[in-house]
Formats: sequence, C-alpha cells, structure tokens
Amino acid sequence: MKKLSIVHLTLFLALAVLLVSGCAKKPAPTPTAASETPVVVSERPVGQDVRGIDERPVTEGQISEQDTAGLGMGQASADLQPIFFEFDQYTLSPQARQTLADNAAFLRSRSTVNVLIEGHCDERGSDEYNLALGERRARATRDYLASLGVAPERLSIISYGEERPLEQGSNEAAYAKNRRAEFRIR
Amino acid sequence: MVFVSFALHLAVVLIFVFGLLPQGRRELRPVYYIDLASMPVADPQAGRPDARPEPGPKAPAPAAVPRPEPPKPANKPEPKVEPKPIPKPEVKPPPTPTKPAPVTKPEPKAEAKPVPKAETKPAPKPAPKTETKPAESYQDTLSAIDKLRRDKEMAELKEKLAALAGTDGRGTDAPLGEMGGKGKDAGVGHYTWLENVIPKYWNYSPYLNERLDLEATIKIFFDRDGKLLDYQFIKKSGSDQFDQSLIRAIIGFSRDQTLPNPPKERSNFEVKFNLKDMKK
Amino acid sequence: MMRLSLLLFSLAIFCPSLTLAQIEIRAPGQQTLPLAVVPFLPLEPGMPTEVAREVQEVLTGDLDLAGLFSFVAPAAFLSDARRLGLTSTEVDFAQWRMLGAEAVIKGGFSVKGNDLVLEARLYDVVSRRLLTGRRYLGKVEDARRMAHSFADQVMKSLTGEDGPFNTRIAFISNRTGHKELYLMDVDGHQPIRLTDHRSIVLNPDFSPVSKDVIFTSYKGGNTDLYRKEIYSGREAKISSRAGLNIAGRYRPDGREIALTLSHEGNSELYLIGTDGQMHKRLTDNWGIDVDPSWSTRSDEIAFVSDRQGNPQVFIQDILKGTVRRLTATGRYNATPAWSPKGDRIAFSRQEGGQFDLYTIRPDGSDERRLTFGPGSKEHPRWSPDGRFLVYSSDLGGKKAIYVMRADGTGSRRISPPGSDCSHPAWSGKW
Repeated sequence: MKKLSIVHLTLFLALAVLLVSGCAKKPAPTPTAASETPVVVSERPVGQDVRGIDERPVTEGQISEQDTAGLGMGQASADLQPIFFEFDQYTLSPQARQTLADNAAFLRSRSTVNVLIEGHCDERGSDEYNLALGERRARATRDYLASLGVAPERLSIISYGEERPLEQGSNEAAYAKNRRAEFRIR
Repeated sequence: MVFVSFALHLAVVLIFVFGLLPQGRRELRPVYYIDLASMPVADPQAGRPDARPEPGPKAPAPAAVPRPEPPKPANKPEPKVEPKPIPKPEVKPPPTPTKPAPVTKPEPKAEAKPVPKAETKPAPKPAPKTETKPAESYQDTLSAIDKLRRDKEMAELKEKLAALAGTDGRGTDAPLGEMGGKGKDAGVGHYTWLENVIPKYWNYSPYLNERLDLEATIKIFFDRDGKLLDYQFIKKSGSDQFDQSLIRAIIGFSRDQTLPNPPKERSNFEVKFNLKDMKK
Repeated sequence: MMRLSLLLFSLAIFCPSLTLAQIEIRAPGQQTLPLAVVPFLPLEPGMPTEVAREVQEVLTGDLDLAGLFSFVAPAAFLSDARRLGLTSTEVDFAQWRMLGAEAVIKGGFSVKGNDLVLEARLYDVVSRRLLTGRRYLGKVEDARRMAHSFADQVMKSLTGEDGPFNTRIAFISNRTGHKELYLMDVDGHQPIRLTDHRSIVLNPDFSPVSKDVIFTSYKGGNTDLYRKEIYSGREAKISSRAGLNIAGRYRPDGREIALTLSHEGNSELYLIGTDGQMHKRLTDNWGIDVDPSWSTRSDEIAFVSDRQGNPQVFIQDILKGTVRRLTATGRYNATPAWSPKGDRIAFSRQEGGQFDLYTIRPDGSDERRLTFGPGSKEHPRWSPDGRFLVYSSDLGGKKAIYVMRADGTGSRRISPPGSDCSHPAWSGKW
C-alpha cells in the first residue's frame, strides 16, 4: 500500500508539472516567410496540452485507501452461496436451483435483509457481450428467488461481466468458478 | 560411311536424351532470362522459340556476326555433326555481350559439351550506367557511395539468379530474343531493354492509393544519341500519386540512362504503366 | 523508323492481336519509396541534441508504420547530411540519388530557454524540389508532437491524404490498481490518466468533433455512461438508467450516441442525445444486443447479437429498422468497427479460446483475417484516416495496446509495460 501511494504521488506531481507547463503555453504561430514559398507555419497549436485529471491535491491517505463506495460491495454473505453457469448460458442448472432454494429460505427468514445479486462471466468472450450476459445471469437469479417468495424489491442486480473474476487463470477450472452469480447483503 | 552413320545415330540418341528434355538444362535459362535486360542491339535475333528463324542469315553463326569478334570464331559446336541431324542450326552462339544467351534451341548444347561459352566478351559496354558525375570535392564520397550501390546491385542480381534457378516454368516461358528480331544480332531490342530498365526507376507503394486498377501511358522521346528528350502523358491514371511516381521514374531514368546503340534518329516509345503484376 | 515498321510488321505476323507496339510495365520495380530521414541539425551551434533524437525517433516510427517507405540510412561520410539544407538550392540531391533515396527529410531546430523552433522539410530527390516544409513553434516538450505533425504532413504531401499521427489514443489501464481511462500519443508516449474513479472504467469513445470522451464507469454503483471534456477535465454522467449503460459510440457527426441499455429488461440498442436524453430505441429482440458501430453515413449500425444462438455481427438500417446478418462464419464474432471510409468492418472472432481480428465488406463479402499467432486480439478500432487499426492483445501475459496497418502488417506494441491495457479508441484529428 505504501509503495502504491508513492507511485501515485509521483504520478500526480508529474501531472501537475505537465498541467502547469501546458497552461502556460500559447503557441504563437509566427508566420515567418521562409525562403521557399511552400513553407507554411503550423496551422495547429502544436503545443496545446491535455488537461489531466482533477487538479485538487490528493493526500496520500486518500489515494491508498480503496474507495469501495462505488463498487457496490457489501459484505459477501456466508449464508448465501453463489451459483454457477455453463459457458455463454444463463439458465439455472438443477444444482443452482437447489442452492437458490436454500438462499431463498434464508432470505425469507431475514425479512430485513436486502441483497445485491452480481452476475459474472469468465474471461472468454467480448467484454461488452459479457456485461450483458452477466446481467442476464443476475436477472435469472433474481427472478428465480422471487418465484420462491422473496420480495423482488429486496433484490437488486448488477453485472460485472468479466471484470471481477473469483479466480485468476486461463483454464476451465478457473472459468467454471468465474461464471457465477454472487450475493452481497447490503 | 559407317562413321557418318554412327555419328548420326549418336546424334539422334543425344537429341532424344537431352534435346527433347528441355528441362534437363534448365540452369542455363535463368542466365539468359536475366540478361535480356542488358544490351539492346540494332537488330535483335529472332524471337520466341516458336518463331521460325529467318531463312537468310542463319546457320554458320560466326558468319552472321557483324561485330569484330576475333576470339569467337572457334566456336563451332563440334566439327563432325554438322551434316543433318541438326535441322536448324542454333541461331548463333557467338557474340553475346555478357551471357551465353542467344541459344534458341536447347539441342545445340546437348551435343556440344565442349561449347566454348562466350563469357569473355569484350562487351561493347561494360556498364549500362553513364556515370558522368562532375568530380567535385566529394568525389571520394561519391565513389564510395557508388561502390556501395554496385555491391548492392550485385547482391540483388545474385539473389535473382538464385531465385530463377529455383523456378521451373518461368524460364521455359520466357521469350527468347526479340519478337521483331531478324536473327542477325544477339541481344535484345530497345523495347525489351526499356521494359527491363525503366522499372528500376519506378518506386510505387500500394499504400499510396488503395486502387490497384490504375493505368497510365506515357510517350517518351529520344534524340538521335539516345538521350531522353521529353515525355508526354497519353493517358493519365486518375491518381496523382501514381502519375507522380511515373514522372519520377522517367526523370530518374533520363538522368542515368541513354538508349544504348541509339537508332541514329529520333525515336519515341509508348510505355504503359499499371499494377497488374504487383503483389500486395 | 524503319526499325519500327519492321517491328510492327513482325508483330502483326507473330502476334496478330497486338495492334500497337507498346511497352507495358506491369509492376513497379520497388514497392516502397526509398526515404532518407536525416538527423535534424541545430540552427545555431551548441544546442542540445535531445530534440534531434526525439524528432528522428518519431518520424521514423510513424513513417515506418505507414508502410510506404524503405529507409535509406544516411551514411556517415555523406557530406550533405551535415548540411542544414532548408532550401532546395542548398541540398546536394546528387548525393542522395547515389544512395538510392527518392525522398529526403531534413530539418533544423533551435532551443532558447524552454522555447523550441523546429524547421522540417521534405524534398523530392528525383525532381529536386521541396515537397513540403513546416516551421513549428512551441515548447521543448512539444518536440514529439511537432514531429508527429510533420509526419502527417509528409503523408499528405505524398498521398494527398493527411496522416493520423498527431492524434491520441484513449485506453483503459489498471496500473493504479483500478481500471482508469488514459490518453497517449499514437506511439504510446506521454500517457496521461484522465479519470480517478477508483472503480471500473470501461470502453471509451472519442467525440469525432470535440475533445470529449465517453466511457462507462461503475463509480456510482451501476454501469453508467459518462462524458469527459479532456481539456477542462469536466465530467458528467449522461446516462444512468437502471442496469447497463455501456458501449456508447458517437455518431460520426458527434451529435448522438448509440449504446446498450437494459432498463427495459433486456439489453437493447438505443440512441440518446449527448445530454443523455432518449431519442430512439433501435432493437427489439429477446437476444443480447451490444457493441454498436456507426456506418460512415450514419444510416446503419453494425452490432453484436446472439439472437440466432451465438454472438454474431448484424447490421441494422436505422430508419427502416431492417436487420441483416453480416458474419456468416465463426461461432463467436464480436466488437465490430466500421472503417471511417466505410468500405470495411473490422471485428474479432473467437476460435480455440482466442480472438483474432478480421475485416469484411459491409455486404458480407471478402472476409480477410488480419492477425495470426498467439495472443488474443480484441477491440479493433480504426485510425481516423482508415489506414491503421489499434487493438489489444494479451500476447505475453498482460494485455497491451498494439497498432498495425489495415491489412494486418506492421503490428507493434505501443502501450507502456507493467499493467493491463485494453479498450483502445483512436481520436479524430486532434
């Protein structure tokens, strides 16, 4: 973590320098008639620089701290087991239905608990397609839980596509673990 | 009589073994093929393998040589066989500028093991380039560069040779000699010469334009000394980049080259440029 | 004359179909233009040579990618390489011709404090004239941009069409530990991070008309679509409908965005304004519809759908709503990208667990495979001139950004090592 912060800090410093120099610059195109007519002065402001990210100074603490607010990550519930899918599928296997029946029973017994269902894919396939596929898995999971008597308004969904693999690795064992729907209590 | 008969039989056998199997001697062809590019002559030899040799100036090769080639005459294939087994006397083995080329038929070499190949030509012109660069302070530089370039050209030539030697069909289909040739001189005509020399000055990248169906025709004019005087587009291609590349080729060509053996009168040629054989 | 008529006569005999004695040259002798890029010289003595090195690196890098040239190394003994030669009368073209160069780039620079003046010239060695010349004024750190700019100029001068070298490539990298949006030059230099979402940022697209980027981010707990003004740094969430707000693509005029939304229950393609306002729903199908890409004339959209079982590329007419399937082969085709010239569509196909890149005509004919060998190549996007493609490949473990020519040759890695880099997008003219 500490190391990461230093890296961050350097990056920000470098950016700041870039910004300052970038803003200061006004490439004044001086039309100088060079000896041969076709010589033209750059029509474009060559030096214009890109405004980098937010100029606010960021403290080390802020940087190193993982901002989880946006990730929709509640605590993963040990009581709610994930379910798994076949490649490019979002239909629920008998085993998944069994797991979901257990999960539904748990949720019915804790009527105050709200759950975020995350749909995930393995790394194969295109990212955008997998985002849509992950959503279908989450949606199928939610619909099944609802059919088992869990109030739909307690269930929300999100797709992470292939962005949050449970297990790294490019093999069928890892793929199988990553094609899943997970439950987070919010 | 017996001797003659034996010789005839032997000749027939030899013809069968070697003569009718043109592939057998294919190494020689590539050499010839390449050399097409070299020296144009006033009156190129009769052309394609299928062309009938002119009745006139044929058989005794040495005779037909208008050139003062003293060393050659000894180049009778073999003294004995002349009689008839060879219906068509090889067009001419003699005065090849730089190569053993002129052989139109494969047979001659079949029996002619001892063929005294003509490589020691006192070639009319050793180098097609007319290097007349003004010697300046950087003369050394220039010659250094020139050497570099010559080395490179040699290497390329060798490469080409090797490549050709490896190909089968190519050599056999190559036109031998000039279509309009009269069979009096070894070598090629101006058309073939231009066809082979101009591309050396033509650089064109397929990335300049996506179209591959471009075609332009340029007329080029030479004075009586073989110097390129002018060029004129008969038909433009429609692509500036393509046309510009042709102008660069013509200008580059005119800087380095004059028509060898100029026809002693003004001449012009139409050159059509296209990309039909370009491999992208 | 006699010769000619004789020739014609014999031609008529041997080759009756040939009516005119004409020389036909059916291919150029060389398929590249021999170009010498001479190291730029200081306009006054005693200037730092770093600028010259960078300019040389950029010019040769860009022009090598162009594929047009073979490079003639200026030999050390060549005296003209040591001469500034900013006008054609000062250049000794004979020297370059002897080297076989057909074009030569020369130039000079001067550094005063932090100010840089760069003079660059392109000469035609054969016709001995100046083809194009530029003077650039800026800061020392702009040297590379100036050189990219001149490379564009060289392309314009020789091909009639501007090069794409002074543009930017946006991409996603996880070098901070989060996937964030970055910007870099086309040769991978000067990477700058644009976002600080500390979440997941995905799938950027440049506005074709302004310096804006749209992208998807999980920052707000949902896959929302954002727009960021690159120069001001201003950022706005423009679509945060429930569910997916992904794969946004600007219409070629920059006034509308096609994207995938799922707020109505299934992932479908929609058109929204740049302010996020709903304009139109495009698809209505049980399948997954993602990855839109606009045709040049904005009348059609290529996209990916599994409506026939597995992911394939389809094309929908926006006004009529008619749909046709583009890819006929392969079990998994994705990420279509319509070329800016409109003549081809690039896409990726998964086979044997790995993606490779292909192009195909919009009518489904003439499919060509561009990439081979190990590594999964994804997310092809065109350069604004249609000459090049940028894409990601995981060759060697981590994902990295590569560029290559549109015919699949000349591929090279451009993104900095050390982190996963993916989802490239090529800006318009900068």
